Amino acid sequence: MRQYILRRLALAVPTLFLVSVIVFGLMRLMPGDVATRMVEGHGYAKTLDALRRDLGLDRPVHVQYVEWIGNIVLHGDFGRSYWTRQPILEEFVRRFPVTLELALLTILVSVVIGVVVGILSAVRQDSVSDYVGRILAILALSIPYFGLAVVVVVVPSIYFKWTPVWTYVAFTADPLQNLKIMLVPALVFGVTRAGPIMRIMRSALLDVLRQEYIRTAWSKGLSERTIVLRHALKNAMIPVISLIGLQMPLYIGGSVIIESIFRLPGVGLFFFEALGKLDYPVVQSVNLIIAAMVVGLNLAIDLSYAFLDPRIRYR
Amino acid sequence: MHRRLALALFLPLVLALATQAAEAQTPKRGGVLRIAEREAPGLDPHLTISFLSHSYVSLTYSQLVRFPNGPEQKHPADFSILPDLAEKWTVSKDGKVYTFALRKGVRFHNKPPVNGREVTAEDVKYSLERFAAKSGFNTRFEPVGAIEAVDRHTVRITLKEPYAPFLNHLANPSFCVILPREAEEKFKDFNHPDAVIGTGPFVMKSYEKGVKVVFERNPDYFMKGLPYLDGVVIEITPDAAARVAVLRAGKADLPHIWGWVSPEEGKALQKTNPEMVVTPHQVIGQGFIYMRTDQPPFNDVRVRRAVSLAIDRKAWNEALLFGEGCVDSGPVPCALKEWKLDAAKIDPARAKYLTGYDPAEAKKLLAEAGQAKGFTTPIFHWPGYVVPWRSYYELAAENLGKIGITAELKPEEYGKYISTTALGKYEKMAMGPSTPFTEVDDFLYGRFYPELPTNQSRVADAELSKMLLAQRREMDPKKRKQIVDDIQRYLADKAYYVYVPQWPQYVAHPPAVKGFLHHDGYGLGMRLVYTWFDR
Amino acid sequence: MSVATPPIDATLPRRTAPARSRPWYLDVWVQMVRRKPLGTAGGVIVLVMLAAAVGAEWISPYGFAQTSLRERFIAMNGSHWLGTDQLGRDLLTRLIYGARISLYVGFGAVLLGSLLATAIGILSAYFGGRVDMLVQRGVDAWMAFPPLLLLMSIMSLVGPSVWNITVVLGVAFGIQNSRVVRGVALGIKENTYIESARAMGSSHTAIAVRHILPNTLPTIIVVATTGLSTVILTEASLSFLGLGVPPPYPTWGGMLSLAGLDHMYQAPWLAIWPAVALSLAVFGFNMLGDGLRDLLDPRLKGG
Repeated sequence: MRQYILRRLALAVPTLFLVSVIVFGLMRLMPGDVATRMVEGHGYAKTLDALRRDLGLDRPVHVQYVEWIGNIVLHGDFGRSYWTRQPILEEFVRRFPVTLELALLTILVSVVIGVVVGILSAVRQDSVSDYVGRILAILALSIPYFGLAVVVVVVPSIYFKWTPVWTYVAFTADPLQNLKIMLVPALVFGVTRAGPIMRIMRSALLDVLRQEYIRTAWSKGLSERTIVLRHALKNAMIPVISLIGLQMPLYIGGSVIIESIFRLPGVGLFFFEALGKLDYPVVQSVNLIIAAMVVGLNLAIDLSYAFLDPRIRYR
Repeated sequence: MHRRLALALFLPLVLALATQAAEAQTPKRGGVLRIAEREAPGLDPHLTISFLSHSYVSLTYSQLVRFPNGPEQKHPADFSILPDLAEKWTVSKDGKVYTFALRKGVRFHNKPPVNGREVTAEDVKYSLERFAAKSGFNTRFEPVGAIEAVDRHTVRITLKEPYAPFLNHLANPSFCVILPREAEEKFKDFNHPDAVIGTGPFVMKSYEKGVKVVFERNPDYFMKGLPYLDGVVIEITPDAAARVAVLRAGKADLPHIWGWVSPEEGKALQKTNPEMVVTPHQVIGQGFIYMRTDQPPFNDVRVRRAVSLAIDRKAWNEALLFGEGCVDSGPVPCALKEWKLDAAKIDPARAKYLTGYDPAEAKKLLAEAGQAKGFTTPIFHWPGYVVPWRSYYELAAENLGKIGITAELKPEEYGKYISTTALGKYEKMAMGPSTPFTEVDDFLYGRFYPELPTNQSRVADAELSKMLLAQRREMDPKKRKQIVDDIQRYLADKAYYVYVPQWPQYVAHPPAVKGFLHHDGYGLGMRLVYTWFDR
Repeated sequence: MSVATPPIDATLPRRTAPARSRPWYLDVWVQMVRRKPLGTAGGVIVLVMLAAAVGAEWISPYGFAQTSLRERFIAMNGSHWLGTDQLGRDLLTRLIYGARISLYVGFGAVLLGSLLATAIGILSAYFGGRVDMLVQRGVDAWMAFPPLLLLMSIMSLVGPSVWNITVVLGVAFGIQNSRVVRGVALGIKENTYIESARAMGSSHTAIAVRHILPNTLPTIIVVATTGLSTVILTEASLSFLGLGVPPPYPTWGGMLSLAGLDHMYQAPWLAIWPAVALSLAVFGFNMLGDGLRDLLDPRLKGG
């Protein structure tokens, strides 16, 4: 077990290295350069050169890379934004709880809806409830969530002179107000994400229910509820959890539009705006941090498999 | 006797009415104005040219001179020069030496490390030199030779040659704000919210990134009794639809840094919220089709004239802009009334190439130019500009198709567009709006003088260049206007750029907001000085 | 209504039935119509869309770029069944052509992606060891990125066009789903008949193509059909951000996010119809995929 953990951690290093190289390269390959963007075509060669020197862009690419990585590894310094000149880590730490809270609430909403409907669908396979459940799930996931979000914000403003858009308040400052603010965006995002969860839940549960040990439980005379909830569900949850793990980057990246429409000062928006402005350090560092989190999260999920299914062997 | 009685009865009535009218007009102090807007990319006015950044900090900074606002302005494009930190100024006879006398006793905001000390000529020198060194707009200071602080309250600027646009550029809040050196020494630049220390009507109290920016009235502001507002809060709202939604829901007083909404949103607001004040204004914006006039086929003026005649500007205006746009939008925009020579006043044989629609003649011209079979051209553009533009590109392509020019729309990513195409590095044809400028020089010299990056059509016309330099050096406004008129007459039939209809900008706010008058300059601070709440 | 007996899987193939020598890829459709009404419904929807996409020129009443400034923003009338947009173009026509491009991008991306996923997955699983570790680290790295970032960066890099979007989405799809294929291939690899094939001297290629591939095919098909809906929605998101297919070519996503949201107040139908089309397409493909998976999976287990 310990060996497995150590090996997985060791493997994370080359993965992160690869991530850092990819994101560094991608940013440098993007068209336009940040100096020109800052002056939007008004500056002449002299201004642009001075700006580039100021930002450290006149040095060779590999030097810039080494400096960036070096600062992170040796000093924990993730650099400063080209535009605001403020430290990135500080900004990230301030914004991350917002995105995290949104992600957690969204997962909660989507899991609750998805699991419940999925179980019902599986247990009543091919019945009316199954059909209704599956149709609802597909409808939920086929509605573009950005469209739904805009409609939710705009329509009440026209007919009721009210909108769910608020000034953000941190959870630590005022938990009740914070939850009020997060409720609508989490619902909008969560409903659309419930679809895939429901379908995975349904198919995983169907698979499990066909297994030998379930038939044994049946023959022992246990009630349907006990069988489904106590025995089958544990194993059926594995693919669901792995799906959530796989989709974690989606919650961080996909939250951009939700954060933009609902005025939530999260990491998604920070990242997206930096991308648009060619703010290399922000994009690189934020991406690296998120990638590290995702790798860590996947490791945690893999470990949780041991909990849920003792049959899994590690090679 | 009767007359005296009548007067005795009449007079109090008149007085009562007069007082009531006066009361309705007297601005009340108090209230916090809430503006829904996107986040500014930075706060240092010299390190970015984003209008958002400049508008944000225009609440906190002053300049040497400024444009009129509120009750001071004759109309939204009134670019007269008013004193700001400079009480008065003189210009030498040869137009090369400007001497400014600063107000005495003006203090910076009481924030460390500046702590409310007095503004001096050294601060002006420092700020203007920093502008000339760092700003993306510093080409406007090219003719500036030397800036000296003659004494504590006198600044002298010596130019290399007479330069008519100089005072206009000094007055523009995008560039020449007066900054305290200590803040840069402590914070390395002016991006940190604690470094935003100026002499303006509002003090930046706090900046919660991504959430809101809070400003409070400057108690020591040198314009006595102003501002009326207790404070201003910018509620950071990245999404455009959300900004209008919060306006409707009463959670914001302005849906944009200058209160702008698109023509369609404006019309919709008038229907759904009839109490909302929605006012259209002609703005100094301009948009056009630009072409590589240094290469075939667009080096042939007949081809360019054909392109201009193919565009059905009136139909675009009626269909897309509710007929409220300005069709005659170039080379000087409609809103710049002081300099504009209307197409109607130009010889019709030439003016038709500026605003006319005649596809038959367009085809004839193409044939004369040897392009009877038509040709193919790309139209490079950025698809992300505001709504009428998205339709403009497709309509242009269709209009050109009708005279035999096959236009292929080539959208580009923003970074690529503004660093290549918008700087004149493209093939054949491109299309898009231009930055609004406050000085007519930018629309003429900037647009038509060879080798400038803002000369997107790569115009190189020797006779024109002579006129452009002349208007720039002419210090007498009447004589300058004559040269500018000549330039407009000259350009009417050259079709170096094909101008498209410019739409009015709608300003929307609730009825309680008073005194918020649109002005085409970029600043927000001075507009808010005269704004007040009626409740 | 609770089930009193163990939930016998009614979809297990009955081995006692007379052997009808119909190959499995035809048999599936027969079984689908017989036993999976939702899947059949999905299949019908998909067929209708494909037909519309292919026959766009014949069934569309107008051209998709045909503007008519006097007929802007009509909601619905005799000559424009679904109305017109901000330039007076017929919405029904644009929806039909939109089907063509959305499906072109969708199918193209999924096809490319499936090929890629199969290649990567089987390669990784079959060779194992060093190769597997290397390839999986690459896949891990890719998957650690927020998908929007990668797509946006690459699209900004290469510029928006139908071909570019198809390739980019295809590659993304392929890499992500290579994991699934790898999982299945690993399972197959463990089977003894593979070892005996090796012992008998079959080459790697022969084994891969003749034994592993056919058994991963059902999984790939199912992944592909459900992936199609994801790809179409992703293309919609990209258009929302301005990185999608350039005008005047209509795609449902582009119509929804650009014209639809721009003119939401004046003409809500500009957003509603593309959203309905999108939802129907996603719905159809997913139902079809579900049906296929229900029918093919036990075959995998049984085979």
